Amino acid sequence: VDLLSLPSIFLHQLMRTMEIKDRLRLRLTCRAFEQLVASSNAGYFEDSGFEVEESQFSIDIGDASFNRIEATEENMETFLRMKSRLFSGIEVQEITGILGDNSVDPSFIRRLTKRFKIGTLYVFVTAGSQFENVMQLMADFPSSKYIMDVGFLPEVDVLLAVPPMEKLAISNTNEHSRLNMITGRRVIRGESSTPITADSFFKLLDTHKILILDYK
Amino acid sequence: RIYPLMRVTLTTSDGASVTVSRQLTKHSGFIEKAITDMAVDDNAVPLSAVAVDVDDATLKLVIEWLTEHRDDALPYPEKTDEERRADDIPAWDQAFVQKWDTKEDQQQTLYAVITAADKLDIKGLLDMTCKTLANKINGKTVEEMREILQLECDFTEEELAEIRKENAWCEN
Repeated sequence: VDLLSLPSIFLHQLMRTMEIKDRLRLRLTCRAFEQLVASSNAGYFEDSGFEVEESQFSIDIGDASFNRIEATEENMETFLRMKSRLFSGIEVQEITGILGDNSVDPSFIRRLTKRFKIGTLYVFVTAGSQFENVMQLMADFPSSKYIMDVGFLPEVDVLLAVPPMEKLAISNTNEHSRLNMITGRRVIRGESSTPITADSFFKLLDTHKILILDYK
Repeated sequence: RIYPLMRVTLTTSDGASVTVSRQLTKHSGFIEKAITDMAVDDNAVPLSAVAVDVDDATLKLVIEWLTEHRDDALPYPEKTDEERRADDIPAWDQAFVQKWDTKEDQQQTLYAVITAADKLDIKGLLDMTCKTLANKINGKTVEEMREILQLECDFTEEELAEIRKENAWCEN
């Protein structure tokens, strides 16, 4: 009897206990295991994360970190192909995303998180240009909980369109040190041309479980 | 309802017969279904023999494990968020598997028990053997994994280089 002739249910259960780094190494053992890695669910992880800023992206999946990869079209396609060969699905209790000012194809993160099952999607947005992308990303995970930390004050109508959050925090007074994983630079913030009226404020308060407004 | 004193005879793939208590066989979905399919009253003893596609030596190991786990709760708990854990194998089970390590064909024994656990639908045993194998390969190098799992590399050098290039993005 060889390992690969064992029941499929066992092999897939085995693969759900493997860490991501083990999956990377198992890909190299033989063709059959490379196929098994690609076709099996990676199982449950407490947290993962991604960051896209300027021309680089970083991704943490379980115990594996892919840091500061140049966001060229070739690299992104190669990474997505590699990810698709690393598991057929994955469950993450909380995924933290940081979207700074960048020119990376907005579909990249949506393709990256395809086949993810996410408990809570926690997004830091530091650039107004990314706000719509974040909304689209959240729409891809309708059953997830959302937390959003916004580093600028969006236009009020945009803000009122945000889906119900576990926590919505809008702040331009903090340093948000977690936002600076790649560049170490200070966060660039936009400004709204219109203030939040009392009526809008109470609508936001009614929509989100926790609302933090902390801006000057 | 299970009658602990009720006994079931199992016939193995190599022609042996083993009689065990239903207190043990209740953990096997396959055997319980076979008994149910006989459509006999629970009080009807003796039951007809149940044929299992497992050899005598492997069945003895399975029965040894079932005897230790006869009082485990049923149904076997559904997988939870902690299912990734492989470090929670009970001490008795670890010792049980360690015994095989003294045998030349320990890997074959493990595979035989895995196959038997699957055929007999014994979720607890399948879970334990899965964790055992996972612990053997977790954190190992590619070469060590091949050795432990007895795998032959059938990639070309070019294919290996391509996968290594992708994997290199992952920081150690």
